[in-house]
Amino acid sequence: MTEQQFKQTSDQELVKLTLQDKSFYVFLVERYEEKLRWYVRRTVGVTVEEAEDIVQEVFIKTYLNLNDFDPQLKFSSWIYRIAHNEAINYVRYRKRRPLTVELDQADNDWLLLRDDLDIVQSADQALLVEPLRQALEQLEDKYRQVLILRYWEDKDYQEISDILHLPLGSVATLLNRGKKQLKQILQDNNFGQTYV
Amino acid sequence: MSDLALKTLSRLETEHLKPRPRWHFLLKNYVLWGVGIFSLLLGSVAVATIIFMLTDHEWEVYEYLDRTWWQHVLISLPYFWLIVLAGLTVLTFYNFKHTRYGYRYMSYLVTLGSIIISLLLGLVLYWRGLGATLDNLLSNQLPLYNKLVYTKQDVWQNPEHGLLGGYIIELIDGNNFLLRDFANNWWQVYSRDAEWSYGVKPKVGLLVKITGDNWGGRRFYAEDILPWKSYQRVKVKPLKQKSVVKSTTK
Repeated sequence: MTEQQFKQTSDQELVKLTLQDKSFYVFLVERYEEKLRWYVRRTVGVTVEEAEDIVQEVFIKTYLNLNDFDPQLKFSSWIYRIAHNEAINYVRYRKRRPLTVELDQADNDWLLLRDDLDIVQSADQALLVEPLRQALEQLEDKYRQVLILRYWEDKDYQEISDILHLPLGSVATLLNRGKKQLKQILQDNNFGQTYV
Repeated sequence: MSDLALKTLSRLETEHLKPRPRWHFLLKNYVLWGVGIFSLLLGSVAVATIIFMLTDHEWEVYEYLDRTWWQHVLISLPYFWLIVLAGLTVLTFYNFKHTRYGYRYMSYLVTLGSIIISLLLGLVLYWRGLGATLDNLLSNQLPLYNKLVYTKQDVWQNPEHGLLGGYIIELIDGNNFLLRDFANNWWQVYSRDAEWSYGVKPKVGLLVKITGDNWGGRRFYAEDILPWKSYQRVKVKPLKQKSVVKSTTK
């Protein structure tokens, strides 16, 4: 098989191949490293270097636990779960400092959130990202986590449930409440008149 | 190959890291299920014992003990077993939620499900007599247990309030007998005017509960002598009613 073919191989297949030969793990690492790096930075607001360390640890833990992977789950949900735990543990034990959420300005995923929040003005994207980023920083962790998974990582309810280990009903509740709180923060910060 | 992929592979090589074996994860899951099911079963045993203690208890004698009905209920509730049940429910909940897909279920549903299963199984075990057996076993084998629970024996160990229970150990004559109470004290019981209710006949070794008056010096004047066994339980006449009966007789 060529490298191109391996890149098209499913996650499940790559897991099986990695269990036989660890060199195949490279394809899984390359497939997820960028996604996880952003996910970690968005979720717990760490620096690029810290995100790099966390993600490397995620890949080591994922490899060690490969036999625990259940093909009934999506591999992406499983590795995001490991990344979520690793990121939360990292910030729990590091010296406490203010949260800085990183959003990719080139990323358009948040536009769906803008629509869901009834942000009526189709303003310049760059003008909207900063207020949204600040509002996310003020949001309670539990709400920020589901919103990021839904709107930035494009995960469906079941995937969010599997990543955060929450029942589907709780995911729906957290999403609704998170959106309300986010909208409230935007309004309280006087973004309301311009954007909401 | 990306920098991170290279670093990761390099660490796997240098630290000789290998995936943990599959049995390791299977075992963990089986242990979680095993402990969860075991705690659920133990919870059912606790429920069976609670039902036994509630149904076996003397709820009607509160007036003898100078208590209101609520005071008597608060004193008599089987707190020990309720705490055990709560602990086991928490253990069942924790284990179930930590199984592979336990997180997908709402916490209140898991708790409610655990309680309902414990109740249903507990009812079956109660009907099979497990609650009574366990309570008697612990009561006889574990002195500490008797300090933790307020039992029917405690109620009938109140001669100063006119309640005495125990075994008939000797029939002195047709009107008197010796009784050993639950604290191993011997009592001379005057039963000449007593009513032997529900077909109970004086017999050595018989376990009875008696209402009457404490005459002091381990002498007890019996008014009613009742069978001990829970399935023969009767509603004890309240004191007021008894005094009316007494005065009418006089």
